[in-house]
Amino acid sequence: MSFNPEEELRRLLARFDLLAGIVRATWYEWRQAALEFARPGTKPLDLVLRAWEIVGHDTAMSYFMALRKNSPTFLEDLANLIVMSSRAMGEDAFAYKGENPNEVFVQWNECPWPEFARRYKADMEEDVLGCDRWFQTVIEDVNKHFGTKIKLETLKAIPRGDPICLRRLTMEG
Amino acid sequence: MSTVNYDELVSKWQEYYKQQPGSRMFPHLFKPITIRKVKIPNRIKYAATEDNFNTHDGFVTDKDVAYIRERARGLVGGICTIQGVYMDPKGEGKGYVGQAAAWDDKFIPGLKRLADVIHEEGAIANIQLMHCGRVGGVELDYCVGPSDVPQRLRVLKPVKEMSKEEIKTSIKQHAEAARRGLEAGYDIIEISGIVGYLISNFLSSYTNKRTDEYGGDIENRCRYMVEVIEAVRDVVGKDVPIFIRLCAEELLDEMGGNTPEECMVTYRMAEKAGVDCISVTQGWQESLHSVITRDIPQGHWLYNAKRAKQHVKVPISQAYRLFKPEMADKAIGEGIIDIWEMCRPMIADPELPKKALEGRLEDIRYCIACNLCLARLFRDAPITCAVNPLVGHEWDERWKVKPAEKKKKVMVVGGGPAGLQCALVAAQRGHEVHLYEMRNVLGGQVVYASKGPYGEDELYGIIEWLKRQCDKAGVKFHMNTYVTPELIETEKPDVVVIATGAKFVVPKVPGSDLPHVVLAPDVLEGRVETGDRVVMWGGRGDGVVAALYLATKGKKVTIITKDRKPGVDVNPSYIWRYMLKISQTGGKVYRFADVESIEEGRVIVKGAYGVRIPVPADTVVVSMREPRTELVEAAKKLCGEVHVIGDALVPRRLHNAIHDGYRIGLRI
Repeated sequence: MSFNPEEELRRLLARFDLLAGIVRATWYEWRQAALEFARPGTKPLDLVLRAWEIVGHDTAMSYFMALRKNSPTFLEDLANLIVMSSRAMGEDAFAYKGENPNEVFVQWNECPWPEFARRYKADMEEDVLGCDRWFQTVIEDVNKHFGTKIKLETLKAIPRGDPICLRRLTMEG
Repeated sequence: MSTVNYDELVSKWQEYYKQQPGSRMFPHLFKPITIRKVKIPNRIKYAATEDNFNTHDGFVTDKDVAYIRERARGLVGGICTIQGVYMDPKGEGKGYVGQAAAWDDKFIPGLKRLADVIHEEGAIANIQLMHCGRVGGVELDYCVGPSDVPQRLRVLKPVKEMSKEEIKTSIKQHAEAARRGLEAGYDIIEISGIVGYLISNFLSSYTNKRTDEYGGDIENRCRYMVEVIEAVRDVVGKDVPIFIRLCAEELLDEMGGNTPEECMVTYRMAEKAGVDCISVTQGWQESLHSVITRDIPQGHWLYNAKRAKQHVKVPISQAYRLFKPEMADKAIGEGIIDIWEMCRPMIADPELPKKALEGRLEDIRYCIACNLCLARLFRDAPITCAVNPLVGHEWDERWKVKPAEKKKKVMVVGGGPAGLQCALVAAQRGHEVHLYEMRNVLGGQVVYASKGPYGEDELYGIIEWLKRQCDKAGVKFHMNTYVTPELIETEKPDVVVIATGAKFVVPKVPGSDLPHVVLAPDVLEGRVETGDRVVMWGGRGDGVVAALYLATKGKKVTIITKDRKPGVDVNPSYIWRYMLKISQTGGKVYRFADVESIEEGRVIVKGAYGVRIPVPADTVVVSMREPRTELVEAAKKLCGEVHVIGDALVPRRLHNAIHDGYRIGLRI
């Protein structure tokens, strides 16, 4: 039976792209349904922030298994997990060490989420703050779980018109 | 209050011990010990075991009473601990759906039934108080702890931080439960502070992040435990012993848990607060390290008991991979422990201490550490035991081995666990049993399974036990004998039991007839050497064991499974570490996948998303099985009563085979 590796990879990527698109579309479709059933006066932003918080707790739990408190590269390990999650969501991300010790940056060059926000007529700021809430929840849970003092700051955001998203992770002690 | 006359009890048992060979074989095990006013005839303790046998609102059932009676009887005068009881009406401290409760006086009659049967069997009754903390809230959508540290395991509930008022209430609940225990007649009150339950949550730097007097340094983290002990002491008075179970080593370094030195501080603080005996444990449910699985050698954890002895003067007890009476007797003799505890070994054989006393070591049915009991417990099911099919059925006369009304000639075809267990029960019931095995070795799939690395040889112990018991029961063995319809016709049995197991089969795909496609048992038994790159076709237990075996030989194994993950049929307490070991040697897994074709040097795998992947392979090992049923139709024509059991019915696990054999053995 003939086997063409390039064709198989192309097919896999196509299906993976489709899946990622379905996930993003489903997110906004659920948002729409939830808003239709929500109490009068519910702000979309509050709903979205709560949803990303729930996602953040779940993401953190999956990170616990991959992190070791006694690892000397704990902060980099965490940044790399964020990169892995982002890439799995179809984003182009990478991590690099900062000039200061205990400082790591995560940079996103491409992100498909704002396009979907536009398509479903969601506010761009909702996209930024939702993303932030997700990461902040992850960091908060990691700090509680491992007894660390890590902070995350959003320095640049594509949905705000910046060319990239950039987040800075720092760890005390 | 307990009305036991301890002097009489001890002298009665000591007289009995003198007549038994075990008291000379194990002089330390059958030596009495006095703790406060309680005199205990021997050094053996059945440790608290959750069993999920009780009602979901905490009342003790007939099932639990019968289960405990069997263990109490087997202890021949030792300490019988009932399962840890939860103590709050909301069920925040409840970790198991069938856990007994002690949060109200209405539970005293049920708890008394347990104490009464323990006393009736001449044992010492111990009640354990167990608030499960971050392992609790089993029927709630949250649990409680000193701090809201997120859970590592998804099965556990989100943690709500306890207020000071809630802490005080919880301490009071321990004291109230202790009072109920005394009123129910228990001799000893035990407090559970292990594996992630509430007291251990307060003690550990991993889960206690409080900044008030209950958190901070280790002394402050001990405060909750100390206040619980003091509150219980206030209730029980000076005569009743208080035991506690505490971690000597949390094995939580990756999460920032206590150091072993800090654990010893908790021991000293517990002793200072007034406990009379400490049960030495190690590990948490959230720990990443093996503690009670077969890869841990027997007696491994005694070093923690030794450490404890250097820090406290109160008696020390220990369970955890300490299954053999000779090992426990030696440890007591050397002053490492004072009391031998058992949980799983006495699930597997409730008569273990009695058999040791009677010098019948060959009759002891040892636990194989398969952890089926735990797996069921964590899935909210009543416990069962792979090697002891009677667990949970002690109350039910229909499950007991009784003489058959009519003696029959029984032909059991196959000497695996199903056939052996069936032959044993049938013979014990008085039938004339002939067991036929086509090979020169008994055990069926267990022969292969016990070839796995990391202590799997322990599994074969159950086959050896079944063989010995079958011999005693008069089963006639016919080894190297392949049963044909002609043999059935010649022997004319009244009953044929088909226990022929399953055979490994190679599914037909292009290339499956190539010479580098081999069967898993041939690899495990050393008849076939594999290349360095191996594809394991099939990811159930058989495939995982073979993959693990090859991985330890340095082979790069890729498991191809149609399932959502490899080893869906393997116990959860084993599969994660097996897969970790396979991945650490470069092993890979393709799930939701199957082999599409096999070529020289590679396999084409059809994976998820309909994508085909070329996987390098010098050898393809097939680990899929199907029932061996050739004889079934012929047997049905030749014999009026035919039973098909074990893997010959549906390929499954060891416990299914043994339980099938037991049930059919009762039915013949």
